[in-house]
Amino acid sequence: MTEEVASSIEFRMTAYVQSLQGARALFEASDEVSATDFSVYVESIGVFDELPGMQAMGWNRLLLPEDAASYEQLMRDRTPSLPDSYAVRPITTDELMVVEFVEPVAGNQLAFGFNIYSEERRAAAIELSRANNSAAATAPVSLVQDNEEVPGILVLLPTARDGVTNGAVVAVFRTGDLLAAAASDIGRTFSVQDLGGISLADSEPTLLSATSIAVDSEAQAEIEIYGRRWLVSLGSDNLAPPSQLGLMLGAAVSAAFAMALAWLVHATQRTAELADRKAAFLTEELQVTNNELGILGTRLERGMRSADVLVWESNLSTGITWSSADIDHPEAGIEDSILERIHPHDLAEYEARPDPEPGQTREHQFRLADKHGTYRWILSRSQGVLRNGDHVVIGAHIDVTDQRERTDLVVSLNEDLINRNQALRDFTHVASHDLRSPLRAVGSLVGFLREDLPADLAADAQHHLTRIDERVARMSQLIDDLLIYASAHNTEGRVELVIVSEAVQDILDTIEIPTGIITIVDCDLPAIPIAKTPFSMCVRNLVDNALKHHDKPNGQVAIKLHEADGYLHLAVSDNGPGIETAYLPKIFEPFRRLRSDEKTPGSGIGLSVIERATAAHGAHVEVDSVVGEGSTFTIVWPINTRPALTSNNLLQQPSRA
Amino acid sequence: MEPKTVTLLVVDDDDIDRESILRSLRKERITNPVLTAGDGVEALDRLRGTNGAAAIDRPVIVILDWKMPRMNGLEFLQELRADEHLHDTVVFVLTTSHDEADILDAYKNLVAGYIVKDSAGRDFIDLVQMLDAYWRVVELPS
Repeated sequence: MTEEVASSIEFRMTAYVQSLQGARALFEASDEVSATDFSVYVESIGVFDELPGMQAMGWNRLLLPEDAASYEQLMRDRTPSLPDSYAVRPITTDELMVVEFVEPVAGNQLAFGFNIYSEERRAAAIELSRANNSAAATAPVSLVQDNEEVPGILVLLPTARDGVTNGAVVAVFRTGDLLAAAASDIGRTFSVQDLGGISLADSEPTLLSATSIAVDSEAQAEIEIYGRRWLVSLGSDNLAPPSQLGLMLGAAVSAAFAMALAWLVHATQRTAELADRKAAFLTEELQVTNNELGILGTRLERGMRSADVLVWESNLSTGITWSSADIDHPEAGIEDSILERIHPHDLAEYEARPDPEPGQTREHQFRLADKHGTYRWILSRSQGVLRNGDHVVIGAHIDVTDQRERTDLVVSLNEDLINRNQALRDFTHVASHDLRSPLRAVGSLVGFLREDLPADLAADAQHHLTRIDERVARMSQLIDDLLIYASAHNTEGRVELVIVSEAVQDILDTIEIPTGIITIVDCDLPAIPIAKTPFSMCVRNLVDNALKHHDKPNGQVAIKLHEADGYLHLAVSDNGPGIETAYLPKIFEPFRRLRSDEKTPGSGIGLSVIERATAAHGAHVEVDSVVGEGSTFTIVWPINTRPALTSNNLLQQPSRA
Repeated sequence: MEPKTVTLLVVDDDDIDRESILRSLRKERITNPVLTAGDGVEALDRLRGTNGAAAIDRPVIVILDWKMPRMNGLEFLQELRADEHLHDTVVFVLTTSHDEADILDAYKNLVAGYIVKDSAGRDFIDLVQMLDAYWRVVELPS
């Protein structure tokens, strides 16, 4: 008998939930469901007629608290029949689930506007149903529509539009009606009277521990479910022999009891199942999170090792300190206080430094002895934070010894270089004066001799004096060239936009072109960024060189410019004597002259100056020559690049110790 | 009143340069008294009449080399400008140095001119001719 009733209840349950699912479909398929739409739907499924027991069906809208006022106004405007006491209430939760529709309206008006999230048993069921997107039943609650006097159960099913939850359909069951509905299942009516009793708020939410049955008479029984007492009376419609009345009453009570029991067990089981599923899901999530944390930890540890970083934390309020014990860090495995290991020279500054206040950061460097007693440079970065009211300093020690050693080396090499350059400047300055002075004196003395000696000096003596003058002039030229050569490695030279064809023409205009020699400039380049001064100097020297060595009465010097791969190629070609292949490697050596005659002016410095200056600017010079046909010198000059750091050979450091 | 004859003090450590100036003066038939000093210390003694030197009659024009032993041109100029009796002395610098810093230092110490030896003509003939005109035209402190 009880089993029959239970299966009958299961059937009802399924039917109730299906009616809710139908309602959900209505909301999910429509942009906006009106009160009329909802009424028509509830009417059409005939749930109240076919399956008595459900007291009401409704829909609650999901709202945010800030939208409650405008929603309330909208509802008043739309539904003039709402009672004056209507209000969205209470607005105390992060989200609101407000009763918007209830069918039938009669008898349920008090429910409109009630935020079911505000009550914990309902809220728990909503959360459960939303988390699993399926129906969930509440623990027994007191029903709003009955002035919170009548106990009942809600079954909720969330609704969504375009995947976004917008509310929930709700079925409302009065516990007493459920019992009454069971009467039809046992072929006999019985009435159930609420006798009141223990306040719901105080009752335990479990059924079994609070249920008892007392049979007062043959036709009446008093049962206690959910902490409330109910009087079950057999109806007098179907007269049965008095001897059977007690039996039938017992059957009615058991039916009611079984029904309530089955109903609750079903709901509880579902809740438990959902809770299990939720728990399983959370466990899985936790495992994933744990794995990720493990991976993150490993990565952090590896990162700290490779960067020689030690992380520490000091709670100034409690005095508790912590540090990562990285085995490769120079500080690892040392228990001594930092104050005992710090370099004596750095100790005073270390002790004087204030701890960073919350929100502040500090950075300083000091030497610290490692476990071998060797001092390492440590960069300490720390930050003050406020944690649970404690002043905590979090920091990192980074071993920067290698960087500091490299930096120190670079600084010292740079100073050395500056000193050498200064010494070179001083030397050339002194040399130009000290070499020139005696030379001037020799020149002057030759002049004195010419004036003082008899006019009829022997022709030989005159010739000797002339040769002294020539050598003095040559020596003077050599000193000038030496100074030019010494400064040719200078990497200075501002990069500017240069119209090279004009620059080349300007150079030609200042050079005396021997009669019979023609110059040709072939250039079709826009303005390009190069270091103009050293570039012009190189061009001038090449053209000078070509003209100086030209051995034909009629010849030509052609200057061709073109750009390729970010380099400016400038070729100076002559049809002069050319250079023998054997001599080609020597022509860029300073003071190397290939001809010893005195007719060709110059000290032979020109090409070596070009080579030095081009190297200083990341450029180079090439030569191609055929004896008897002429030579072509090509300068390949970088466009739009800063000078190569030739003076900074210090960058090619000896590898770290 | 006949202006007093201007005395020329040539301060140079190079005796051949000193002689070049003297020869050019002779060639130009300039008869003004010419005295020489080998460095700044000697020149100051001559101007002040100290350390056994006879004081030079003013007005005087100093031809000053820049690079000299003991006391160089700049040191000499600084001491001269600080001397209450000699601070107004007219000085021309005659040196081999083209250095911008040297030129600046010289004019900061109120020289009448800075002349590079290579630009002064063979045996400083241009300098001598310029001086000849200078002391005929310019009024000097006595």
